[in-house]
Amino acid sequence: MTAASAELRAVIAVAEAASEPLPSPDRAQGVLRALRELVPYDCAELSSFDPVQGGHTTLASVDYDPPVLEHFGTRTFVDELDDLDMRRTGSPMRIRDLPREALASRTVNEVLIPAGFRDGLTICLRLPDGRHAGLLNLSTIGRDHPDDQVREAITLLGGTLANVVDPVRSLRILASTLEPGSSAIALRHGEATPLDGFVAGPVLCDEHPALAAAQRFARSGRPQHFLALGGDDRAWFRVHLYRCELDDAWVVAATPTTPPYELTRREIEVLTLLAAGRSNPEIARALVVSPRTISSHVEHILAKLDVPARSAAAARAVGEGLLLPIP
Amino acid sequence: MTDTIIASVAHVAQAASEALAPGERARAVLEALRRVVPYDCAELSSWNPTAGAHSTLASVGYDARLLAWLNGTDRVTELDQIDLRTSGQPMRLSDLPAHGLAARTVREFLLPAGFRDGLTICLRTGDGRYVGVLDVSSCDARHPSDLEREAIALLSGTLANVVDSAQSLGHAAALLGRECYAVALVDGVVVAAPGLQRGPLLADPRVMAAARALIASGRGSRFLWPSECGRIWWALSLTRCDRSRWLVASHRVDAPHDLTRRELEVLTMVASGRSNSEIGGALVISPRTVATHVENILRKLSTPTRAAAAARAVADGILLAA
Repeated sequence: MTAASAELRAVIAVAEAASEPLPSPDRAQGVLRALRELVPYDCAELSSFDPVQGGHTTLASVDYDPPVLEHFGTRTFVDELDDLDMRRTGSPMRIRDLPREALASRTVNEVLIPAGFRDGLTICLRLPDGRHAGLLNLSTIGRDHPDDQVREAITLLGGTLANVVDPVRSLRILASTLEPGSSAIALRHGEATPLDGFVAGPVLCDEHPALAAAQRFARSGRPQHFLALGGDDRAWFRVHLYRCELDDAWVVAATPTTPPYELTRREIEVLTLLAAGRSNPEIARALVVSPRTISSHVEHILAKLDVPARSAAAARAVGEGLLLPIP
Repeated sequence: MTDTIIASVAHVAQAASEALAPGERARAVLEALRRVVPYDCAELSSWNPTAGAHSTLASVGYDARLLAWLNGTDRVTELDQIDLRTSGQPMRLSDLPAHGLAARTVREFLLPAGFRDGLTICLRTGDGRYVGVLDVSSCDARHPSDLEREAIALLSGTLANVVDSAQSLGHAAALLGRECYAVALVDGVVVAAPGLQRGPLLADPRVMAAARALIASGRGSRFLWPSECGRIWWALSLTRCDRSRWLVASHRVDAPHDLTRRELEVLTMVASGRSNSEIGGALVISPRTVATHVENILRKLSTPTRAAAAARAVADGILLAA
């Protein structure tokens, strides 16, 4: 029962490691372990591209010395990859495949050869949408590997490896759990960025106070949810912030909703100010109505939420996201 | 031949590693599997341990009546009669022993539907959990070939990851980061959280009861629990993974906002809407003492009113479990 080649088994082992529901660094480590069955490397690294730094960050590595990893993370290395057009073509490159002028590059001359490597392979990993996701580097002390067959197999696995190093993978997985009909964006380093497969919709755009509120909540580190009015103030949305600890980023999602507990828009405004600690006269001034009107709103709110006091209404409002963002 | 199958398997690898919702990912995997085995119909389904049956995650070509049978409890019995769930071996129609051919799945469903061969494999994850099944059917008796069968057998761990209904727990646990302890609640039952330690606190049934109560109320996702040392607290957070799965995570925090234990008790009661005299009654102290505690709480939280303090307490997750 073994028509399947060792190579096929190794490729399947990579497939299994790449499909594990693990944190990205753990999954990448598993993939490197499986890749060793395919190509007997001495050292290897999977890294993610960081568009802000313009360099790569190690996700998992096996046996490279820190100075080599440090070099793989630099912009210089990216420049040398670009000299060979590797980020555009996505073709793997071994030392033995390099054109003469590239053999003089810093990577080969000052890093790989002095570290004792005789061959190795680097491949730029591209996602289906063409985004450069990261790199696989591997190095060998002998000259026999990686052979042509291995080079071919690694080329075939490029899309899988790209999924493994995708720097926004956890954001994409989070986004895949959102309710149908949600609009969503990502917040990375406080900046709103589009999220694959989602539109920003009426409330997560620059002109709407909900986005600024989400950015504020993300800064304060408090997971938050709140209500927002969009579509010419006629449609209600629930806005929810989800945190990705590993990526230090947030997904902000807006889902169409109806106001809970049959609260009116005015009551939600009063509840918001009440939870911010304002007294009835202060709320009345802010909304330009009489304090008596506010008292009756508060009574209705307590009745609808079935709570005995303002403090309990405030707690419920925060706990269940029954607040409008205060601009 | 081998080269083609490696290319086909690489497509499966890519589909199985996509960051997609489980159903979409399973569909992409079935599409890619067609290059490994040229099937006419195929289905990936997840095992639901509570229901004791399978449910379709993605399917191609099978009609509704056949899918209903494949996912029913009678089918599970037939899988067990030929030991497929324990062995994890792929089984083609052409591999079946005589009593297997007499099974209703074959006699009443697959053969009448016009299939000449096909393959069923029960899927287990690396940690040995039974998670689901792959069915493929072909109108061409030449498929699946021996090599195709072997490739599918080798891919069973990958396919198991794809149909694993607990993968949402793994993904959610991956989002938590590493600096915490966690367990999962699946339909209210405590199970290990993938890749995370349970830690000392989450073994306490009172803590888990408090977590369940908060989940049931839908009124918040965080609370505090006292540790053995008065200045240190456990901060607990609840994360919803899917309809039936939650993660309960805990990590140690310093006394939030320098609040004393007594002040946290008072704050928790304020947030539930109790008056000073009610709080005094519950804690067996005078309403005046409660008033002093409330003043100190407002000062420490820099909030102007009880309502604002209650709001802040919920936002920061610093209320004690009810």
